[in-house]
Amino acid sequence: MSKVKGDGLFALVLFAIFSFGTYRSLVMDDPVGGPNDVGAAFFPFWVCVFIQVLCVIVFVQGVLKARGEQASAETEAVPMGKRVTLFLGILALLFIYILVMDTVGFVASSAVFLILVNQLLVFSETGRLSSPKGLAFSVVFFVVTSGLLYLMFNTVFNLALP
Amino acid sequence: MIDFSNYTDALGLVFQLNVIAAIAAGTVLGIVFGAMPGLTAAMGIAVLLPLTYDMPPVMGFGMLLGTYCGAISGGSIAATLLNIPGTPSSVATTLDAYPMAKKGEAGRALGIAIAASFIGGIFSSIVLSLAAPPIAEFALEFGAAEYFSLAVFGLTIIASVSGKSIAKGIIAGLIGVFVSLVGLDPTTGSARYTFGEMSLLSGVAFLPALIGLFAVSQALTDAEEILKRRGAEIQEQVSGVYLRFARVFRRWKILISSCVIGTTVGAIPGAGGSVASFVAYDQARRLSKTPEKFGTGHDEGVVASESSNNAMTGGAIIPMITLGVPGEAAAAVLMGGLMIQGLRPGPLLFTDQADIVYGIFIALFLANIFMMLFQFVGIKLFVKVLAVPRAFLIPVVLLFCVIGSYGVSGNLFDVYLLLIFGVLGYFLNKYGYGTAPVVLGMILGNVAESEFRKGIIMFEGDASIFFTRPISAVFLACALLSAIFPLYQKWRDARRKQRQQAAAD
Repeated sequence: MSKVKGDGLFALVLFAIFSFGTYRSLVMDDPVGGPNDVGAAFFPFWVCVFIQVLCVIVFVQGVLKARGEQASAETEAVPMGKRVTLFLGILALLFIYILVMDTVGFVASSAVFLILVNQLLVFSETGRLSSPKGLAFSVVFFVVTSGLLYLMFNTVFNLALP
Repeated sequence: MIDFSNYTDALGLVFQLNVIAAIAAGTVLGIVFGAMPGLTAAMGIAVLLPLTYDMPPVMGFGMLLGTYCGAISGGSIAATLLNIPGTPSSVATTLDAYPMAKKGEAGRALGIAIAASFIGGIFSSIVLSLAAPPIAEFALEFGAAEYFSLAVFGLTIIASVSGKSIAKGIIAGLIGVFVSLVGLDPTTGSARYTFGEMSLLSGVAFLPALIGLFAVSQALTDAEEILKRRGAEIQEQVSGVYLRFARVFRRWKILISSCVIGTTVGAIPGAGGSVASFVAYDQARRLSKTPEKFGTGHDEGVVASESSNNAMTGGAIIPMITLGVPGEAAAAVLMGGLMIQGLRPGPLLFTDQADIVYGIFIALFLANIFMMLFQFVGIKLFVKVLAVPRAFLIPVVLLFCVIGSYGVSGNLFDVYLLLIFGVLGYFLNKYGYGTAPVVLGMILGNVAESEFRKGIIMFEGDASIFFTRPISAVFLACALLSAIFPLYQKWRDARRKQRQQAAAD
């Protein structure tokens, strides 16, 4: 999918999200704070409506650009599949990390998270994982890093980490 | 009139060993962030925010200011050696610094860049300390109508100057306003878009959103960059880096105009360092006796770009600290740094916490001095930073983001917010909406709504107060102009193109 088409699609996604926002503002409990107050739903409603209108404009602009683009037949430098895999991979790792951080503890979960993201990036860049020597270096580096960060934030900066 | 007693109190706050060490450390880390292509000043400040949670205000904010100055100046290292701007504000630096490096004069280019950055930074620090107090005093007169109009003006100008498309800029700003509306309505206590989630009752936490929008989104973008380019190699040897003050001062006309342009553009919400450096570069070419040399490795190009982007730093802080309207993305993150210290930027800060405000002014001076010294002394070390593999850097940046979001409240919900805003920021950047308008919308949305409703209630439903009070009317007129002007510019450019095409045919 080209960037121009993605642009239009993103505008559509925003339109859908803020249509839901408009709907919620219409069914929102809308008390007023005084005799002349506009109410709690006034700003949310109008902000969502404005965003929807602008999204339509951006979508139409995107469609017009996409038509022009067909002639130029733009090709993307990096295959879409590779980009999506990397993007979703990092997000999935981040999500799982947040999910288990409280149970597993900061140092262990962080070290595993760092190593996995590192290997994902190495794989995306080179098409293979690190060599055993490289992997050993990564493991030591990231275990030490997460341990040091824990000590630094917990003891020096008084930040409570799980 | 400057009240020097404020400075004497502030000096005591700043000249403590731990505060000076924090500013110095922030500057070094800032240079490192600036030197690495893809890591912006805003991202650097966002990542380092958690380090400041437990620090006294001047120490914490001083460290972030150091990061800000260091990152903006450090951007010239990659611009000179790799032809890739370390930060967006050093794009114009590549035009002349890289050709100089190609001629074997990388040391000279870096020496000029460091000296020009220092002068620009000091100039803007002076302007900040002179201009901010009277602006804050003036802003004390503001009532609900003025604050509402100021917020509207801030939102329109941000939307019109920050995005590639006006519609996208406005959408991004409005998304920020929408986010600011989540939570209990401050006037009536009605829950808005909380979906039964207790953590959302007090609104969307500002810092996780900020770190997500600036740091996580950037890390995701950088990860994608790994697929596109395999680590650019440094071709040029760096030697002979001397502070080229004499060379810079010889271009005094260009230097002064670039400093003035940098500080002025910095003070315009949403414009940022890249706009400042390009405007200054263009102006320098007009002032130059040898305009034909620009782009071929000309000292004057480096002087213009580097002095203006560092002059932007103090300018961007002026509206942030006096009115609560940040001048650019990094200033918005700096504002977050002030807010976690329990300080509310705005005119009252100058009356309630004057020692801290003046301490911040002094800290900016110090940060600029450190920036020059560290870059000069450690340039060879900073050059090595360019070789740090992204596969090691990105995971650590993400970890800092998680710590920063979790550390404020100890609430895991905030880390999920970080993730959501990271993804949102990634797509907003990818499709040209920008993340800065979102953050500014989050800041100004609250002000706009609460002051609008306050004004309407106070004046018994009479909305004309927004147009009849002079200051408010001026802000609204400026808002209208800032919305119309870019449209007019587009129309004019299109017409010019049409005419040129017709002439060519």
